[in-house]
Amino acid sequence: MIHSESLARIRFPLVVVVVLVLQNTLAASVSIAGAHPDLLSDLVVGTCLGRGSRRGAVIGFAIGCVADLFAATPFGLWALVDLIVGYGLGSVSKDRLDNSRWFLPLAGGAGAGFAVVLFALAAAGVGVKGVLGVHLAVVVAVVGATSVVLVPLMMGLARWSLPPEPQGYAGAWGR
Amino acid sequence: MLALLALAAVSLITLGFQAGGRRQVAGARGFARNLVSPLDGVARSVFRPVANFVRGGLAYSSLRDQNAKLRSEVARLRAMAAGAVTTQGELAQLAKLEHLTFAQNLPKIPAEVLSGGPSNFQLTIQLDKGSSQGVRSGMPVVAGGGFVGTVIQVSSNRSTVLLATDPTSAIGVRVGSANAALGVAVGQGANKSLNVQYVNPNQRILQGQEAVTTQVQGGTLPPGIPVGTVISAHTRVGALQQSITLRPFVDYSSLAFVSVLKWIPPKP
Repeated sequence: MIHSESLARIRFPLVVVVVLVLQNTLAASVSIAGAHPDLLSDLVVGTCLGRGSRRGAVIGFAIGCVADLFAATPFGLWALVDLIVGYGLGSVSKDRLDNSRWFLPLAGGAGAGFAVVLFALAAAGVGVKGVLGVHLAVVVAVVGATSVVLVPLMMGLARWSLPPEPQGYAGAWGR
Repeated sequence: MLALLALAAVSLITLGFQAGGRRQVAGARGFARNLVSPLDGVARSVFRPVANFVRGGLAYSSLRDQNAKLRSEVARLRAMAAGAVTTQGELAQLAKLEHLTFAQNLPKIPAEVLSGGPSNFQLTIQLDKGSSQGVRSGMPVVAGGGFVGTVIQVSSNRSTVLLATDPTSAIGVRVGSANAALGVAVGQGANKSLNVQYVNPNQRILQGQEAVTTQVQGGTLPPGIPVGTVISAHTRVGALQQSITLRPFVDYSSLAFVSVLKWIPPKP
């Protein structure tokens, strides 16, 4: 019989796999002006918001590595981008998230849009052609708009699958 | 901690650009795809109706226009069908004369297009065939109209194809038949034409001429696969090359089935 603690440990990896499969099947099939929602970026944003910079960085790096495994762009780019995004969003105060109704969707849209821009810049930096241009603006608009709705859902999933650190804990993930 | 992770990410990027590292990355990607592909298959069949519904909703008006256009196109093609027999005969003769490899029945692996790529920044498609069925990286992919793209990633039951319209795609082409001009067709993004570069400015290129793949100058594709038709060609004063745009023969927005040509690029 599987212990409930073991189940809790595999919840988050399971969520990552489910989101990945949804990205490869559902999201990849839905194209809006040539761009589609980026569920993995939404998961990074939803998971890292308010969890502390270091923890955000680690989670971002891990999800980025998974995204890299299924991308055709140079390996490590998403890991680097999601690490930076996770670090930045992790530093957002948890009180701010709880006190403002509109903060989460807006921060979600902005965070996912920023991740896309950062990725395009990093990709262009290592020589990937055609990532900067009008298409980038379309991708940012589509990813940002869909993230306004999707990030709160991802945050709900993240809260269920990855419990917050106990109060007063400031170990490896401390701020 | 942040510095360590950043260093790890940069190391991974660097590793991917080295020959040995590239193989390891390809191996890791293939392994990950094999792990996820059973789930992928189930999810695809479950979500296909949902995706179709959303796609239909997003493109309702264009679908209605497209339907009307297709009806008139069917009528036009019926009228042309009679003349097609003659054209086919001519094509067969030309193929014999030119020794076109494309027309010499290269072994093909038929494949279904599962979806577009998960990334917003690369124009790729996922096929339902992989290394178990004989697909290898570098093999060309064709559809009824002509060249679609090149296989860039392979796992045991899936493969990823980089479309010719992707800006990182560059293929050697021959434009025209008599006094053919050689150049490199580069993608310019989704639903956009191809740009042919490095064509001699003194070469006469006419609108409507066809471009096919070529093996000249280290091309990595079998020669003779139709790529597109010349939409425009002009040379600016003092330019060292012509500016040529091609309309691809293949309609990338409606690809459902393709063939992977079992052709391995020659080693340089």
